[in-house]
Amino acid sequence: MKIRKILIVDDEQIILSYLEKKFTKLDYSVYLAGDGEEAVKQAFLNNPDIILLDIKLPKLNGIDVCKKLKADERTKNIPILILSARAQASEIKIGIAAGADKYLCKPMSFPDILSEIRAYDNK
Amino acid sequence: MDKITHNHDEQQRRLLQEYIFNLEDVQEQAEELSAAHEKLKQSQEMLRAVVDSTTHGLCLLRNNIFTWCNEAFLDILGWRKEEVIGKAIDLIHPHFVEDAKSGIIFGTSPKTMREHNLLHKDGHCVPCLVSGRILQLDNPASYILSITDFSRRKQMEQELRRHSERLEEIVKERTAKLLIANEHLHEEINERKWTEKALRESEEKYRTILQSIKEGYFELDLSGNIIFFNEAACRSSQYSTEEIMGMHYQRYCTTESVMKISKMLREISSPEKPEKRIDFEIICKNGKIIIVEASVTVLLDQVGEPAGLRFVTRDVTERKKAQEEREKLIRELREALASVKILSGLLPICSCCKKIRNDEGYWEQIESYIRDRSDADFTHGICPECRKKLYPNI
Repeated sequence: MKIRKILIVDDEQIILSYLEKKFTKLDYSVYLAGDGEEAVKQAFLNNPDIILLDIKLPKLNGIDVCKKLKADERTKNIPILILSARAQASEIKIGIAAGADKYLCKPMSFPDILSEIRAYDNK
Repeated sequence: MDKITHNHDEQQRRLLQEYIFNLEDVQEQAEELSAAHEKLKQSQEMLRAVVDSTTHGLCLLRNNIFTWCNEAFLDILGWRKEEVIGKAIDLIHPHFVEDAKSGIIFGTSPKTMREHNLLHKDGHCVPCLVSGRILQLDNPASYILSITDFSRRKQMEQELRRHSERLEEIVKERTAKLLIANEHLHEEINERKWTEKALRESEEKYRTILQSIKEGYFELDLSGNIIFFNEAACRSSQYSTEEIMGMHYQRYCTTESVMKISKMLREISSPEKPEKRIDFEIICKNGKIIIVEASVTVLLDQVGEPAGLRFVTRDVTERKKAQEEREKLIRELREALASVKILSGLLPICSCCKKIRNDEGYWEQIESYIRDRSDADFTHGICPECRKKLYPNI
């Protein structure tokens, strides 16, 4: 199955706007969330094909969001790519332990992010 | 210290991420702009090519002053570019501004074209179709004019009109002629119909006559075959109509008659015309020979060439027989008359010498007269009275 629906979770509006614009241009359906609670809500509501998740989030941080979604039967199979500015090995380990499928460290160019997303096509 | 460094690194990474995305965005916008610019350039080139290659004159005016014009515009009106740019509109049209105000030039659609006589550089007027459009995006006082020279078209239209008028005249003439011809034709048709009717009636009449007459009638073609005949011809020959049709004359004529008819057929085409009347013999179906007297004329075809002979025959067998018998009788009577010589009537005789005056008026000795006209002959002697008178002594 090809990835068509993406949930992007980040507290930075600039990042959300830019990624929304770029993915929309490529015909993806894009859902946005600015905090952790909104992210969980959107995930249950829209059942996205993939989630691009920041760690530093208001209300509920990215690690907890990841755990919650991976613990739920409805969302446990959704691939979660963490895209965070926290790039230390221990932090990466925590992210992977929380159930993230991949840990991407900021800064990343859009083509690189796209290439990571496309890697989940037909998986 | 590590914590501070860590937070600083995180902060740096966040900022860097924003910076990268911003950069990408700007780069993308720049690419889009560049593409748009390229497109605009292409569009501009295309537009220029269209403007340069069109035969429609185009010019831009601002406050009725020429700011731009294409080559076609200059070609149509004979000006050079530098003579036009910066000049007022009345250079080519003295009343143009008034026309524009009254809305004559600017129709509701740019397709609305008006006919105007524009001034050529050499002073003559060029009939043009003019359409104008206000460039609303720019300024109401700016407008573009499109002019199309249709002097050639006008000439052609005039030519066409002349041709059309001439054609109409020709059509009228021809129609009139046709009407006359048609009338003549109708007259001819009626005449022909009448003639045909008369001919039919005449033919019918003659056919009826032909079939009712006692005389036989038949026609021979040039080969000698019967091609037409009447009932009387059948009756006299005793052949049926089926038998007689197409029959060759040699089959029902005696040898002598065959020679006569074949001579006539030969003479049809020669300067010597065939005889008009002949008698010939027909061998009837039962073998009986009848003699017919025929009136013969030459049969002509539709172009007047001899096509055969036509015969009107009358059975003269009985008459011929009677005639022959009469001639025989006359002959016999003549013979009888020749053998019997009888004197009769009054004979003028000389009372003195006894000579007799004959039919020729000569006086003839009575002996020779009687001898010639009778079987009597004379022996001479002297009667007693004459002897006494002549020879008194004896």
